[in-house]
Amino acid sequence: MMPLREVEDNRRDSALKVSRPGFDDVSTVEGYSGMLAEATTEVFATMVMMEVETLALRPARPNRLIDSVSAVLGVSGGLRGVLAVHCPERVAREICGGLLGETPVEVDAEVKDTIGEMVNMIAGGLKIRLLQQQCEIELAVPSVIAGSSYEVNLLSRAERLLLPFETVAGTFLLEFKYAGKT
Amino acid sequence: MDFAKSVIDATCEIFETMLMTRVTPGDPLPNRSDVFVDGISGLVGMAGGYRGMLAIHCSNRVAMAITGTFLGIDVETVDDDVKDAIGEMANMLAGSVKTSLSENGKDIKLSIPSAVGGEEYTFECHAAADQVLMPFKMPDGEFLVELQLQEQSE
Repeated sequence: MMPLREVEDNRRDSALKVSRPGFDDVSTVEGYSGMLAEATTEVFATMVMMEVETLALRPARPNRLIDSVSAVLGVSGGLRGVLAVHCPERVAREICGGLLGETPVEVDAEVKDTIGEMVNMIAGGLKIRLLQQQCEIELAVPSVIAGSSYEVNLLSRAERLLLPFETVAGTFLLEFKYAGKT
Repeated sequence: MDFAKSVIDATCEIFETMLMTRVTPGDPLPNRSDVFVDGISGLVGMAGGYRGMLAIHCSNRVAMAITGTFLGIDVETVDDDVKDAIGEMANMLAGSVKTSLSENGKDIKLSIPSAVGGEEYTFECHAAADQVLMPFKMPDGEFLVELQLQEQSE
């Protein structure tokens, strides 16, 4: 818990910037991260029944993911991109527990399905918010990657944002890479 | 719609035109192992008239061979070039499959590709109704092309 204290001020600052409603220009990192923060908060409040707090955007993340579960979902149409969520195993299991009522002791099929469905629901929330800005996106299907040591690289030189969230079980990271129209 | 044929045609064409390499399709697999060891998967999402994704799964060795041929360079480690190349292979394969499906009157749009790799990882995608798992042989080994598609109602 100690390291969290240090970033708290930073976080409050960014929360002000990030969750501002009525985005005039959606094509900014602040616009997209605001929508993703809202969509994620909504999914956690209505489906996962777990407290979640939006942290400050991160400039980078480690390439290698250790003992984690990731879900990757392609986005096309008005915006070409890919949305991914990276969860440490413990966070993934607790999110599954929040959704299903009982926390699995290991990363089983239910945990993987939950993380895949979570990225799908967050992308659904983004889709609704973009539609209000006359930007219609279409979603592919989620793929789920898990393991003790792996890499997930969202390719192309498109814009990237890394938005972490804090839960009781630890932090997880939302990664969004996007370019213009398909 | 014969998805297996689309995958075979797309893969043979892309490898012949982009890598000057002849690949031989095997028999479609009913399922695959969820676990990949020392491998790379390139994937790209498909959305629109069909919703799904296309992935290419290969060992590090095959991935390096594909990259070396594709870029005309010597590749000795799984570096960024290899990840880019395998993601781009998925992108090109999906582009070709998309063309054959579009002739069928369905508009499909592709997402940005991703590359996944590691010593040991699982890779799962269940959402789709139609699944094709097609193994291919090339001089440096085998690779697998996976297509998951769900037709969308109008």
